[in-house]
Amino acid sequence: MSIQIVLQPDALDGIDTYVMDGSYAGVNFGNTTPLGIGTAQVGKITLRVRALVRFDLGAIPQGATILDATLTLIHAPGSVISGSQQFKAYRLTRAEWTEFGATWNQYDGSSSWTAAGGDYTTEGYDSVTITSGIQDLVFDSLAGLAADAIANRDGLLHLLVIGPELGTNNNLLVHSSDSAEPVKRPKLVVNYEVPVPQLTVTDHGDDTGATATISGAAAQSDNTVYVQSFGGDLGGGAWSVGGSVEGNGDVPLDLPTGHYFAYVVSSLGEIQAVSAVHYFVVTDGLESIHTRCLAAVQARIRLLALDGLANERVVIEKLPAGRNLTSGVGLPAVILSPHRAAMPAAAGTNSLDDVHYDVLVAIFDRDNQEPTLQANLDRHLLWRQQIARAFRNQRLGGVSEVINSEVEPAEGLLDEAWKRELMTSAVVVRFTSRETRGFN
Amino acid sequence: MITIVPCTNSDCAAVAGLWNAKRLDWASCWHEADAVDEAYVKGLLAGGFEIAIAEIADSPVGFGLWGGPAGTARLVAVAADDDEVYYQLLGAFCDWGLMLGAESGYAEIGTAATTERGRMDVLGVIEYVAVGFEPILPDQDPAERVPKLLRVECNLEVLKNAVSEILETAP
Repeated sequence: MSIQIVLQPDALDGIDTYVMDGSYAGVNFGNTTPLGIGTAQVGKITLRVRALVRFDLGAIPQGATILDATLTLIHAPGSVISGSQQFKAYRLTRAEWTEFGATWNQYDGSSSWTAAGGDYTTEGYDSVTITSGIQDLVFDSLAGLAADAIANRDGLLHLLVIGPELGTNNNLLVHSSDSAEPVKRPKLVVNYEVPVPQLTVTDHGDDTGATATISGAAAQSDNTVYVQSFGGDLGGGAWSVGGSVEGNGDVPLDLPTGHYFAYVVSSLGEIQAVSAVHYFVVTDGLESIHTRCLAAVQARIRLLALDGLANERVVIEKLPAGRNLTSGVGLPAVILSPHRAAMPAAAGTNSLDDVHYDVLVAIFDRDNQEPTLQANLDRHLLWRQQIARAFRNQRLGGVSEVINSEVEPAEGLLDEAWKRELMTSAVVVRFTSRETRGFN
Repeated sequence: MITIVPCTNSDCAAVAGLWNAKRLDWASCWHEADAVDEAYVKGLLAGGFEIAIAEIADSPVGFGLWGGPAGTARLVAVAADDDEVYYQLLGAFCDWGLMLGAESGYAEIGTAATTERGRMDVLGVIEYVAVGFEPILPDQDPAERVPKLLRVECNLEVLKNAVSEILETAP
């Protein structure tokens, strides 16, 4: 989410003036309005006129990403522009200039500019072209200079606005911060955001927890990782602080084996950005891949929050059709079982095998004599559709070895269910695990 | 008899001559102004400025320089040794501004006690606002700044009437 800050200071807070060369090279025009830019037939000769403006961006925290910055200088009566004329906004490199001391020759009432008329750099400058004296100057590409001010200039953006300095009739007058009309004072609009951190979690695989890795966060930001033990659905458990780090880096998470959610909050001043929620598993390294697939499928299906199916009725069983079929968990239920004992390599590379691990996902509900079953038909089909979509052609969260999955219809359960006067609908999710050949 | 005529390109050399002569007048705001040439004056005309020449017996004795976008009238300079010539040119500026629809005219002048400042003071209708100052050090109080440049502003009808009164009472 971006944040916008609008700076349009008044006479008390605004810092701006203009300087003129020639016979006015020693005159200061601070605290007056309008500001002149370009050329001016003042006194008895054509003089160059440049405007100096300062904005304080201190309210924007260090490390924020500047999306855009736009300076608007509103034209004042009396402006004269001949033809198409370009105006440029440069960064003043002499930050010590003062509103009541700056002249064409000096920057603070006693010290001379290195180059008369103001020391500036062309780096990051912005330009705008106008064709009449009733047009405003809108510099809308000052994001780089604004970012530079925040990062390197104590938040102070010093600008020197230079217009056409040839010819006699290109005198643009713009309202200063001393203008009696507040909406016409120099205005700087900056849109910025706090970088959204990215979170990855690596399971130690030895019952010592996991490591959260934060990337993409602002260097100066405080990043706190929040962890929730998987409680059936997201937000079902309490979030606790897993640890924190300044900027990007690793946060050790001392967690027992299990399934978890985590996210990171990146705080920059009073502004926060929150990462996406990350699902991960902490293992002890002793569980088989097939077991971890079962647990991950259970977590994933629970996360679907299927309408009408309580999370505690998504269970893992050794066999889909045991003596009482659903182990007394109640109906409807989703029973998850390992589907095949043998797992021959189906494909692979020179040193890696692609091995299939099948998980049977069976939906059980009351028998077809149940009067509500017909009404539930669409609900069952929808569950089946949601389950299939949750796994089809993707990796499996929590089991890093799984590189793909397929969903196929399951067979063989219908008769068993029928004998027990139950309805069943089942799919087989086939997970492909790429494993190192010849090792445990 | 003073007549006011618009300056054309063929008059620019004469205007430059008046300009450069006036800069030698130590009592004038023109004193030590930069010297110009005919080409510079032609550039002013090309840039949209108006130049009016005051003549006596077909000889240029002064000029006025003014300009400004529609609705505003900006008096840049008036060069004249004689008071009556000065006020005649000031009257011509008023007529020009009113013809363009401007309500008020303005100019910038220095704070020195020059001949031109005295002539404006005599009119008694002009408002002065300090816009340029001696620069001060960071630790000095801005309220104590010393003005160096004034912006003078006046309603053109009021100024025209004041000029007419002065000219009527002139010997």
